[in-house]
Amino acid sequence: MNQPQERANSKRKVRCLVIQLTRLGDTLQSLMALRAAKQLYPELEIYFLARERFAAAAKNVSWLKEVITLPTESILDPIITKQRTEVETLGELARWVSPLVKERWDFIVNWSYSNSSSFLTALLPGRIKLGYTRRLDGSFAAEDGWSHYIQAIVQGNVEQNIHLTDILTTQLLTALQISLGEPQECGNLAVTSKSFFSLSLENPIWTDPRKKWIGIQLGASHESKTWGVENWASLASLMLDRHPDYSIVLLGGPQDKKKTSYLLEYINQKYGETSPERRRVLSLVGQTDFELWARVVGSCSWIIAGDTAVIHLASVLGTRVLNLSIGGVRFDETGPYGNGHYVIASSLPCDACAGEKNVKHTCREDISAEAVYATWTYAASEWAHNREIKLDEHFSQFGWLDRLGKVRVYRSMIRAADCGGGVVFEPQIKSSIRFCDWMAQVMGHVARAWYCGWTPRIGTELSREYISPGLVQNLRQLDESASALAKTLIEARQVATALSRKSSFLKSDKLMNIDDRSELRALGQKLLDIDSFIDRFGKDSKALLPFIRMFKVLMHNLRGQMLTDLGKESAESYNQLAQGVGILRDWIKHTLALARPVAVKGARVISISRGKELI
Amino acid sequence: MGTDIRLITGQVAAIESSKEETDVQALLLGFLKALVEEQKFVPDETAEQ
Repeated sequence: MNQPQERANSKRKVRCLVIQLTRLGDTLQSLMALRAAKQLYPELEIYFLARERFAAAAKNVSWLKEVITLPTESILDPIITKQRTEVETLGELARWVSPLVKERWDFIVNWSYSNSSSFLTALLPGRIKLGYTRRLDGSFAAEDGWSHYIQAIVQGNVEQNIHLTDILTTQLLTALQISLGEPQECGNLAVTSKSFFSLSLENPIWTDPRKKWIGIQLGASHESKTWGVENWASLASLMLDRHPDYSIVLLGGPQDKKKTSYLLEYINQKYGETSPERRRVLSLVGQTDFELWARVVGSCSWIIAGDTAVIHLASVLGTRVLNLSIGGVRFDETGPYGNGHYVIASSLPCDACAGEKNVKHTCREDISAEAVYATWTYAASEWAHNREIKLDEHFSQFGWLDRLGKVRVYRSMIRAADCGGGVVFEPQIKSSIRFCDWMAQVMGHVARAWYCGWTPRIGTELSREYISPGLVQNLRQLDESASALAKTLIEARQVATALSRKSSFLKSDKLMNIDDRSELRALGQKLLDIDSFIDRFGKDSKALLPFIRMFKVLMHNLRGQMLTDLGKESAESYNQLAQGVGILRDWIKHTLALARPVAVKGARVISISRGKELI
Repeated sequence: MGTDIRLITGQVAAIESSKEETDVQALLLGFLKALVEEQKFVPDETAEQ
């Protein structure tokens, strides 16, 4: 019997309900995080709750104890079509909830991070709850530190660079470690693999090792995230012209059929309907259920796609991805997970991505077919050049260096455990780091300090060559306001501590003498004044907004009932924020020091006139 | 419908005494209303598959 099985048998089963009521991409990311947890804690019995129409992925995972589905269509459609009222439907929903309420859950992990799921989490009895829920009075609550971070930062549209899969994994493993103790040793078992799903479908076309497939997913959940079909056609044409060893399989839903027709017509006209090139293009658009889709994606050498579920499916199955990051998505958080994936994004400002309404996503047009093709050929030939050739040199060989100016290209890498682990996207083109990307690194560092208890050295992934004069100027300005915010937070902590101490000596929060009441009132008022002052920092400096959002979330989630507990918790929250702002200031200091001109020591200078070396 | 709600209320209250004060019906209704609202933003799964 192997070691994980022994532990699983010897330990009491731990019943864990995971609520994932969002979409397929989130489901796949959740499954990746759960695979890691199951490997480390085999005693976990994982029950996975998903919407019926997004449950197919989970149903093909053998190590889940059970997949519970929420029949949203049958419950919600009569309400949406006004055949029934919400109150009339309540009974049906209650019947669905009833078996879940009867269970005794050790863990309820709500990874939906949605309003609806917070109500469901509150309804179910669980020893430990993670994610969003509701308090006894029905008000919204985030149960743990990472949930605060997701609410304030990730869902607050603040740039940060920790991948969602890493957040979920760390959140769950931390809770398991606190509750169940150290995990079992299982070395570095891979979380992703071709055998992630138990698929019964066998078809020689997808198992022939001589055949090399490139999967192209034409659509995405929103039009803004999709690349133009004429671009896909040009890309396919470049591949067909120059890579006779590769075939292309087109993937997508029924709504992508129009795009598919355009693309196939383009190929037909260019090469002929019976040409060898045309025979190397297969369309499965609108024809794949989950099992076929997973089989095909797992058999491809590459998947090229926008921000859509297929990049997570490919990540799970260990298929390499070239992700076209289009339309205001953040690949740091939701890009392909694993080693050696590539991401290509526009390097130019896009008003729509910046939040402007009724304007086009110009980022879609900045990424040319040539840029995607050159990036793919660079990535696919890594084995030959071992990345000793730079990406810009590779573009130059095609004469397409001008295409590189409009894009940023990144390569994913899993950090070593002693560097903090998790996925990081390394830039492949030398260019100045943008302020938002710098801030994303800072926020990632702050989150690790807050919730992991361990942080890498400041600026490990920041290089001097990426620092621009503009960034230096921004940071100098930011340092002043960050310093003022840090001082204010420390003052707030002191007042909250005084409030807690003072109230701890009182027998009641309501009955007290007039002097005590006056003193408490004065402290309370002072804290309110400081709070409104803290709020102003977010209005004056956009860069400090993440801390102000976090401040609001932390204050909303105080749990204490008595004044002394509330004061103590508030002091801890101010302290947490002050620590975060302190890390921000350390980053500013480090970056400004890095940008400072450095004298070259001991340079050997050769005098041309005398032909002698001068030291 | 009423029977279901009472059933749920009883089960929750028995399992977790801290839930006694919770208005289970309000939580269920909140769940349903939020699901209806969110349904408008959840695209068809085939859009991604």
